[in-house]
Amino acid sequence: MDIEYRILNLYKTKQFDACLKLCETALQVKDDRMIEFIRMRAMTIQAKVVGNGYEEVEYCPQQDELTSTAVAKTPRPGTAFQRDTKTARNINSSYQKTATATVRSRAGTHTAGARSVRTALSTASRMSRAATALAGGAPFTPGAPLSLRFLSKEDKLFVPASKTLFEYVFYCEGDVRKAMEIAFQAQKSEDTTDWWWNFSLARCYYALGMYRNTEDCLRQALKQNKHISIYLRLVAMYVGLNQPISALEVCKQGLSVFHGYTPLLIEQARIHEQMGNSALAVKEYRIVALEDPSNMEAIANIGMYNFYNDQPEIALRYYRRLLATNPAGPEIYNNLGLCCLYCNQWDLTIPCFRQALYFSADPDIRSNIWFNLAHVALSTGDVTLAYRCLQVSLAIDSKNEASQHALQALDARLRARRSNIISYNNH
Amino acid sequence: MSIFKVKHYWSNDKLQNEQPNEGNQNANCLKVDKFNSHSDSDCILVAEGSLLKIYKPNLDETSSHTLLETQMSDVVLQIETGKFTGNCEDRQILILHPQSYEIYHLKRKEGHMEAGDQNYFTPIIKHSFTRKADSLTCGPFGNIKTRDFICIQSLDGSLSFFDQDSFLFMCVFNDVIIPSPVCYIASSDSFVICKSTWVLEIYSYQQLRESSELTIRQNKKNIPQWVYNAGEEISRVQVIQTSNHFSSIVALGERHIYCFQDNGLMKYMIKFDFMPICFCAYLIGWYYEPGARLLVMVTSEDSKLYIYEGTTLLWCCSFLSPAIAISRCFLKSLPGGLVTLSVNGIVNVGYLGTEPDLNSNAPPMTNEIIDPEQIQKDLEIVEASLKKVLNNNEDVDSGRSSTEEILKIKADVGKPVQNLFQEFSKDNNEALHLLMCPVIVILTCADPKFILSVQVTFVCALPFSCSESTICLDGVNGTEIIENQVFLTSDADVSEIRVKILITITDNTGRIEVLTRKVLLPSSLYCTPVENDGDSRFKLRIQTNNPCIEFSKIFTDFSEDELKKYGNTITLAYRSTKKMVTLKTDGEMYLMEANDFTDMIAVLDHFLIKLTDHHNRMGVKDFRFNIKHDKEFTRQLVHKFLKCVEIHAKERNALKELEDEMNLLQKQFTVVQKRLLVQYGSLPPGDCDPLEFLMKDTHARLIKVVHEIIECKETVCRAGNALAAVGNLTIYLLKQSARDEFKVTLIEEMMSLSSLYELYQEWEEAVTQATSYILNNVFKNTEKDKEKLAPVTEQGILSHINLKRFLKQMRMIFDKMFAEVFENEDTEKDDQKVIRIQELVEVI
Repeated sequence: MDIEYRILNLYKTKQFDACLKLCETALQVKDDRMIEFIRMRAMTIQAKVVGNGYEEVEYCPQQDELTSTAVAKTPRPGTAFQRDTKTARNINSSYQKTATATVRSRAGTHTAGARSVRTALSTASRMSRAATALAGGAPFTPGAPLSLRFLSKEDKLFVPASKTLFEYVFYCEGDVRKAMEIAFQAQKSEDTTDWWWNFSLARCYYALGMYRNTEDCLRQALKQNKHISIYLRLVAMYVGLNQPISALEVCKQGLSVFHGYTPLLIEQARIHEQMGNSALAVKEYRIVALEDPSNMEAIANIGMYNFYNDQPEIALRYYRRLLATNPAGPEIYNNLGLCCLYCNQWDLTIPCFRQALYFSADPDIRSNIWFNLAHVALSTGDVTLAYRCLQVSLAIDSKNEASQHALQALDARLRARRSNIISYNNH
Repeated sequence: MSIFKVKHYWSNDKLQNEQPNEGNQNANCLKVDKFNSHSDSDCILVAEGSLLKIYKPNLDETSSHTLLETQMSDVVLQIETGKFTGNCEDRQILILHPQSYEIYHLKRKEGHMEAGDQNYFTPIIKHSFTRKADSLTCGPFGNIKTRDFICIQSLDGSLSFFDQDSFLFMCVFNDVIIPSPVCYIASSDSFVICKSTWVLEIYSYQQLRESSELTIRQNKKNIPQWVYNAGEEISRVQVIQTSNHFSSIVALGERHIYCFQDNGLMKYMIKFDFMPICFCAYLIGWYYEPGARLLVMVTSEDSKLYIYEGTTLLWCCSFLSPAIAISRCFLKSLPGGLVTLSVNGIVNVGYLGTEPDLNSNAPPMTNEIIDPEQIQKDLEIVEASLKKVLNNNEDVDSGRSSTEEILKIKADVGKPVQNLFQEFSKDNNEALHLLMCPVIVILTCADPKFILSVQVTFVCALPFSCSESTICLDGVNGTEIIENQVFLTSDADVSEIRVKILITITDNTGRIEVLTRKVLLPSSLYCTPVENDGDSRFKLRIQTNNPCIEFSKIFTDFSEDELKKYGNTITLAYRSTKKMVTLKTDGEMYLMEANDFTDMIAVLDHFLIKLTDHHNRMGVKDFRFNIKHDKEFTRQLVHKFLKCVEIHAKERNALKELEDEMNLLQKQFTVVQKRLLVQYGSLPPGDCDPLEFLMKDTHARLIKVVHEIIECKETVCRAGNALAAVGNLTIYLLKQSARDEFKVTLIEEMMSLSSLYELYQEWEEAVTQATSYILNNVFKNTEKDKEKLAPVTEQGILSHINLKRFLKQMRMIFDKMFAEVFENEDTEKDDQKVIRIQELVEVI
């Protein structure tokens, strides 16, 4: 079998590692444009997967001090994501409140975990890192493959090759500036306007942190073609800019084109949730779950909503479904444990947490689980156990604020009790 | 994700010989169709490399599942079925090879009882061509009803059309680099062609035929019927007739699936969050019925199967092995089966079912039975050991000798020598660099194996500098001598005349110990005797219980002759600041005079150390001295100290302002650069001159600010040194006179003057906390004062109001301390009186 057919087969069946290896050997023997392109594409796709290039929505809001692209620093009230961190400070007044408040964020860790799986690499530099992270692939020799590098823009091959080239430079080499150059050249040499180039320029500008230009490009692309990726990018950009109202507006526009479309709905729900509008968010999550019953983020969020809506039994059912359908993880067992606790299923509470501890590797999560265990201990009235749990929590992660505060409060309470006893004895 | 799995029905994995050959399996080499000779169920045609196999799966163990297995002459690229010649009833099999295609007929010969049936191929047509083929599509092109035509896409993207065994025409596209799928739409007699520009183009058959002639004649642009710009590479296309007049085109991209009507109307688009591999669109019901449903099965890279109707996910389950091609089949005992082809050529037939196999990899949860007493015991042990660790009771290696015994350290200074090596960059500082003083550390270790590494760090306050601040040694073998040079580098006040040497020792157990040595710098390094010029403002008397000694015996760093000529009055000038200090002898009293407090401490310190030293050497026992100063002196001193603090804070504020400005400018610079970059790249290139001007201007301003910052930093350091000098003097005096040693130590710690170190000048911040503590706890401030003097939290320590409060606090502390000193003196006098009275009483 000819090597080029084998390469094509591997490429078309998306076995990129093997494909790259074969390309390497094939290119040593002879120069073949097609094989070179296949190699470039395979590397691009791998880098894109590693660098989360397929996710239009990124979850690290860009906090680059240097990008002062004229965004108002103080948003009008109600137009920005608000995190109420202030309550956590008043620990002395209401211990119970903080306990539940942190439990809330813990239960939320599950969705946070789901998101962190796809956390994107936010800046160009990180994208370039993704290129070097092409582990397992063919040995990456920068600058090696391209006869294309010297492809002039007059070449008749330039137009068909330009998109491949752009993605290669953008994702594999991580060179945003060069990628932009390609985009400009391609736009010049193509006689028809292509939404994709505007979209790609927006990607570049976004990587550079130039939001205004990103917005312009995306809006222009949207005029040319109503592609779902453009809507998602726009939403992501507004979320990154901390402008949820605009993001919601884009979601609405997108949903008018793509009715009941799950990625947009999820974005909308996430935004609503972050703005503290969880009832609306849950409504949207429910629509998502109907449309795509395998969406675990939606289910986890519905479960969480039920949990805080004082319906732990129902939350328990959602979490059990997640447990059945997903690989088991610490968050899910933790949430199950909390649900069991509030459903008075005492016999299952501790085993759930034990499982959670068994699965947890991250000190952050471990610490939080111990914090929750302290909560369990408190609700059984075992103050000493609670005390120990909190100590363990702090031993694992000394920066766990919730545990610090809880321990402090517990300490204060114990001291007060002791002094009470002493004064009682004195009487 | 789903809890379901595809139910297994049949597989050829046992028939497959194991020889993993990467890339041998083509995804186009799976075809399911029904033939007249086997009309009871579908046959599955698979090719791997050049081996073609036809299966007819059934559950019967005894009968053979393989209808045919034949070695073809060349690699099989694609298998298609259809009616390729007009005169045949049965479906024919078209096999595409790189440079030829062959059409076969599957026949069955009834065998005898034992031998069973025999299946064989009868070749009908074989045709060769020169361009290497990639894939093919076939169908009744041009609406010819009698037979299917063949369209072969070659590796370079050109399309060749064939009718039976005759070549019709060829279309060349120059925008195809990697061949992408081509598909024929029967209902509109057109072709879907995917290009490397990631655009889906639809050409009618008519158009392609004409264009083939056009390409020969003139290079005229061929405009497609309609296009869709997908913006990603299309990996597979399938056309399926969904109603009497329309077909649907389903195209799979990298992360999206697109569904169009054949007139270009988009029906829907789905974005996946997995990487799709292949798909199969099928119809439930018949296309001429109105209620026909179009379903799409998509397989993912992590071997999952998703079935969508429109954008709604209907079913999701996992495969047993990842699939690169998927199709439906109708078998005798399994209507609606699922045929998948895996990478290594294994064909699986399965069906969807609901028998949930709950997450099997999650270990079962069991409540273990635990003995509470055992747990309690364990807990106690753990807590006991924890307590031990926390209280530091248990020294792990108390049996071993300490590091200090193993490693002998000797530190000394030598005579200042002329600095001959260094080139002087700054002329005005020439005098400073002239002298340098060697500091020598001698490490002796008898047993080198106990010591892993040694690090020697030299710490000296400005204006002194060391030639090397840190020296690392990997083990000490015998004796190591480390020589380091100390010299003056700036014109700041001398506040500390000792060099601190920190020796960090890591022993063989990994324990780290830090030892400290201090060496006194010779006075000739930083001052010279000069002629006296008149009176000075501040005077300090030092009273001893021994008669005065000649200065030449005390300031041994200078030659005796040099000092002799000055007699009882000696004036020293600092090399760095050119300020002077005068010392006089007067009976048992030494008199020290200076114009400023900052100048006193270095010489005073040195003098007193040498004086004590001298007396010790002379064997004078019970030598004591007392520094006399009056209230006015201390008042001035405290005043000066506070002044120094204020200046220091002011300079730091100025520095901060400059730094802020630099930050701003730097941001501005970056932004301008970015804008400029965009301008360079924009279409058409914009006017860059104003931006360039702005950039250059910003750059110039940046440089200016940086120079200012450097200067300001030096000023801050100088102010810090002055502060340290006066502070040291204050504490020195307090130490000499105050009684409550603990309090003095507290104050000294609070002042933490040693924390002013080169560029680290955040002294005020460090001291503020301690001051509040001392005021509140040591001096028992009233609540009102506490409130009044507490720093305003929302402002920085250096803010005007906080600085004021800070100064006030400092003043309070020192006032109280000195007040106590003078009280002490008074009470001492009283005590003496009382003692005298007692003596009197005794005498009486």
